[in-house]
Amino acid sequence: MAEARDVETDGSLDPQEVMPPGYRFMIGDRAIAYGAIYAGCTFFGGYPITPASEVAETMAEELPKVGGRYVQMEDELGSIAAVIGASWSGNKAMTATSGPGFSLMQENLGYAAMTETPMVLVDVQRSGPSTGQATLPAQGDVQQARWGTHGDHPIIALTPASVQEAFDLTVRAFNLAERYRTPVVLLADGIIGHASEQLEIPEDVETVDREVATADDEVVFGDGEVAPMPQFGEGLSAHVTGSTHEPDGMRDVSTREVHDELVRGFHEKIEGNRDDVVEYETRWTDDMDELVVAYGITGRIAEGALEQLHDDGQRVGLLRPTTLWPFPEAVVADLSTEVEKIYVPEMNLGQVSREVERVAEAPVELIDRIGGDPFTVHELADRIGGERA
Amino acid sequence: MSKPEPDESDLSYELLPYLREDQLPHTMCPGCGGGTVLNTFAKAVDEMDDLSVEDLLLVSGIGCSAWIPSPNFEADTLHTTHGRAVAFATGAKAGNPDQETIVLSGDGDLAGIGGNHLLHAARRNVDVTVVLVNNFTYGMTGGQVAPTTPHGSTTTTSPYGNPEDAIDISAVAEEAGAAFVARGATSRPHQLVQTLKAGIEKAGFSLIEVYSQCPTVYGRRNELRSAPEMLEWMEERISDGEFQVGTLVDRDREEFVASMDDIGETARAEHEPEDRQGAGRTGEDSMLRIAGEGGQGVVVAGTILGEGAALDGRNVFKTEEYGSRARGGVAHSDLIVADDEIHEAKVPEGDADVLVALTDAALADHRDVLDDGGTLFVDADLVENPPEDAIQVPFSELAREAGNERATNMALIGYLNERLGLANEETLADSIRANLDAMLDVNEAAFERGVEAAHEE
Repeated sequence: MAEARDVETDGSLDPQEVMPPGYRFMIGDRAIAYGAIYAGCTFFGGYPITPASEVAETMAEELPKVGGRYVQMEDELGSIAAVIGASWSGNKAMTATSGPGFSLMQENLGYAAMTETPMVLVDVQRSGPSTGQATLPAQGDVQQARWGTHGDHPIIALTPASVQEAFDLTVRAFNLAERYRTPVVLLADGIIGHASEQLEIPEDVETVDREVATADDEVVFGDGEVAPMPQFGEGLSAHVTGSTHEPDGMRDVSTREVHDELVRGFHEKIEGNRDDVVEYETRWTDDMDELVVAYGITGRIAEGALEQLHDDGQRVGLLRPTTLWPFPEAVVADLSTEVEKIYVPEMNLGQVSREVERVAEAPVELIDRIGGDPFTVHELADRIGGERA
Repeated sequence: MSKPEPDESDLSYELLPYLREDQLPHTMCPGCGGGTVLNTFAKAVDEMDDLSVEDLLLVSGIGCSAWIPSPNFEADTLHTTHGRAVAFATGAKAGNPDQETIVLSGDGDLAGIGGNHLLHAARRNVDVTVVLVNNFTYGMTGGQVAPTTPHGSTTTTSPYGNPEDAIDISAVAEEAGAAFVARGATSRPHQLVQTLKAGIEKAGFSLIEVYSQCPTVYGRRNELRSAPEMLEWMEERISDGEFQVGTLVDRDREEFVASMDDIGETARAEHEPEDRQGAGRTGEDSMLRIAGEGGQGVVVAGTILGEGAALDGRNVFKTEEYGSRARGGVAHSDLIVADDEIHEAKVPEGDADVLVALTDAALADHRDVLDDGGTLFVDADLVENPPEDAIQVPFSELAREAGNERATNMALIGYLNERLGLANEETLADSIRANLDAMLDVNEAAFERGVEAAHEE
């Protein structure tokens, strides 16, 4: 397997030298940047936007130390384009944005899906639509992450509930991107992005590197088994196009079977690896009357609420997905057979609740919230458990 | 240097080894200038002894001209989305400077929808060569008016004549800072080969605008029905000075990707390793809010207290809100410190164990956050009308005694930590040193006075 660009020869620092392991106190945006550096990121293309700018600022400060490159592009269209270009020239690459920028990136997110480009797109969600409440948090981009670009495509999206998870899931996002040759979206939110928390930087993290194609590989696109990547600069005369293409990369835009096999292949490699991709946490689900499905910052608040309800003797289970796409259908369907009711609190008007309804056997109640204020523990405890003395 | 070997037995086309033969025949219309561009480009590459095909990366966008390199040229080829080729190329080049990165695409793609990327790549002076094939129209979509369409021309979307003037994209690139700008024309292929070579060789951003004929969807609507007619039209315009060909600018500027090596060195030289660790501690759970005017340092106070507790291994969740004005608006910092997991995303109304208010306005705004049994600390001087249950602490006076009222937040940190036991004193002192760079002596003295004040009660 060929290596990514060699940055070991120019006095570059290790991630551990840039931000040593141990207890640290930082905002989620910075934790995302350090997670990326620990994962081996060597390219960041960005454009400032609240509340994601601190990811770019940290990358601009730290990435050059590990031999990586930060480029501030002229807009979000260019940011993701540069990231895809850098990925093909041998880098683990990332961009970070928020809702409006995420909307602008959708076309090239589809390009990354179509060309099976490993890359990480961080969306620190804020309150929309449009400029909305630019400085306030939301969870309103969940469905945009899934369906924002045109055409059928799979996507992986992860969502952190703490600054620690912001670090950990960024590492995981890179590993999944490299393993499955696919764009991965990290759906953080304005609270996690800007809140400072303790986090423990680990001594080391497990990293995954893409398999780079050789001249002997004939299938380099559209294989349900993850084709090796015909990276640039390897003498492969790689042909990469967002048009429908054959397994060797050459364009064929008119044959139904070629398109069908290509696009189904993308889905197969993600769907066929759900066991690896889909992660979630459960608590109190062994013996429950009701279930709460909650994610990101809201998942964390919900956990506090359920702790209170359990203290009161109520039996409510928690499912907290950290993978939102592909949606953890199996576990939702499975747990739903054991309960009378499912609550889905989220900071939007019902995006994950629709997915839960789609697969659940029990009635689903959305607890929605927009306007920029997060739920509180008491509030969710009251909504789920009823008013208590 | 690696170049494909010509097949001596096949004399049909000496540059054939540069093409993906299995993709022939190409898809260009009869008479299209794209063939000349492909031919001259292959010739230029062939004549450049130092250029290896393995190191070539061709990037294109959407449109007829984008299909000149993709799929025809046998090299790494990135066929991208409409307008974004230059941005893709910028990332690819920065990601691997060893690649000779060349964008080959059309006028609509590069000067219309992608104009902003062209502008900024020229300004940035990234070492990418852009070959902009200007055929005066959107060809692939059937001949609509383009930003390069001459005034008065007929197209499918300017059926009564183009009311707009064409953009002079070469002049724009020059003004934006391109190191090399030249124009060529498919009517002058030998000259074009030399121009392409000069642009590729140039270290820095190069734009080569190539006038190219499109008799099929542009010419036929403008009484230029064949390639020869269009080539003659181009030559006439070159002769009468309306089209200027040749090198327009050739200058040396610092190249963008090369400058990154210096940035790396500077970043490493300025790197200060973060190796602080607290001694570790546990304590009471606390939810506190510190509120004051913007400029009083309440956010920094929250950061230092939170950081101290976090470095001591405790769980901390800190959020803040700045006043709308840089100084004057009410700002506050919410801090939740616990040894167990924290679930709240902010300090809920009515739940705070502690509220510190440094001004009357801050007190009025935040009074309700305090739990019924919570403790209210107010600045003894700055809060003029404290409620009866408030504990008045002379934070600002302690700071003045230490040398400057601006260190009020440090006195607050020392006092509050001594009362609440959030973090070890040494860890906090470290954190103060790490977070502040001005007036360190005064700040440390104010912190100490805050600690002492807590003992005096």
